[in-house]
Amino acid sequence: MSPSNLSSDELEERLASLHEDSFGWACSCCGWNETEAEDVLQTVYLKVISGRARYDGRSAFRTWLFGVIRFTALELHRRIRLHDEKIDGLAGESVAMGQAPSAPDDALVEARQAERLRAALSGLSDRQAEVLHLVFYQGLTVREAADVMEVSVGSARIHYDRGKKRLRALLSESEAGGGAE
Amino acid sequence: MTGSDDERILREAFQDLRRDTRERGAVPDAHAMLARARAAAEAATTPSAVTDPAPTSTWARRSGWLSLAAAAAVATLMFVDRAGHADREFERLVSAYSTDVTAGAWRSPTDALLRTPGVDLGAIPSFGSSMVGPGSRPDAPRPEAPREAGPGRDS
Repeated sequence: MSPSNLSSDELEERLASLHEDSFGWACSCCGWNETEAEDVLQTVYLKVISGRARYDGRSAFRTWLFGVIRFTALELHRRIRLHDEKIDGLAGESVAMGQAPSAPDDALVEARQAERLRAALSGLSDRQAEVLHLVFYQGLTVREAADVMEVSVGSARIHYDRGKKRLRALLSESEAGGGAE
Repeated sequence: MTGSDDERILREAFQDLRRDTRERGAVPDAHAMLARARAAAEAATTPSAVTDPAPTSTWARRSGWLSLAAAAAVATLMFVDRAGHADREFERLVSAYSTDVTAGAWRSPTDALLRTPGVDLGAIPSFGSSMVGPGSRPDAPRPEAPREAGPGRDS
C-alpha cells in the first residue's frame, strides 16, 4: 500500500513536513487558483497513501513529490477548470476578503506585491513560471527544477533565463502602472 | 541592472508571495487533508455493502442479461426471416425463367429482316429415307418377300 522503503507513518510525516511547499507548488501549477490547488494536493495525497504513486528513491523525496503534484495538476487542470468556474469565483472572493480590511500597512504592501507577482507570473509561459517558482519560491537548483519538470537541464536553464528577464520586465511595468494610479 | 540584482529582486518577490500565502491562512490543514486521503484509500480497498448493494446489482445484472438475450433473439429472427425471403425470391425467379425460356434468351431486333419470301428454295431437297439401311449389306439376310399367290403355283 505504501512505498516499500517507507512505512505509511514515515510517508505521512514527510508529506506533512513538505505540506506548505507542496501547496505553494500546487498553486503555481494551477495558476494560483488555491481551490484547484487544494483539490490537486488532496488527489496527490490519496495517490501516495494508496500506493498509486510510489516513491522509488531514485531522486529526493521532494523532487519526486513535486513531480507527482505537477503531473496531477496537468491531469486535472482542464477538467477542474471546465467544471468549477463557480469555485474560481468563490476563491477570488475569499482572497479579496482575506486581504485588506484588518491588515497592517506592511502586510498590505506585501499582499499587493504578492498580487502583482501572481499577475506577472500569469504573463509567462507555463515552463518559465514553473522553473522560476521552483528556484525562487522553493529554493531548488535549476537541475532539481529540471527533474521536477521532466526536461533537460539545458532546457530548464533557457526557460529560467528568459523567464527571469520577462518577469522582471513585467514587474517593472506593473510598478510603473501602480505608481501612475 | 545586473543579473544578480534581478535574482535578488525576484527572490524577495517570491518570498513575499510565500509569506502572503502563509499569513492569509490559505494553506489548508495538512493533517486534515492526510486524514481524508487515508480514509479514502481505506474505503477504496474495503468492499462496502453500502456502495455496492447486492440485490440491486443482481437485478441490474439479470436485467442486463435479459435485455441482451432479447436483443439477440430479435436480431436472429430478423436475420433468419431476411435470409428466407431472399431464398424464396430466388426460387421464384428461377421458376419464372424455366417456364418462359425465351424470356431470358437474347433476340436480335433485326432478326425479322432475314426471313424473306422464298428463302426455303435454297434448301437441300429431301429424297426420303436412305435406301441403304442397316439391312442392305450383301451378306445380311434379306427379308423374305411376301409370297404372292399366283395362278401357276400351289393353288
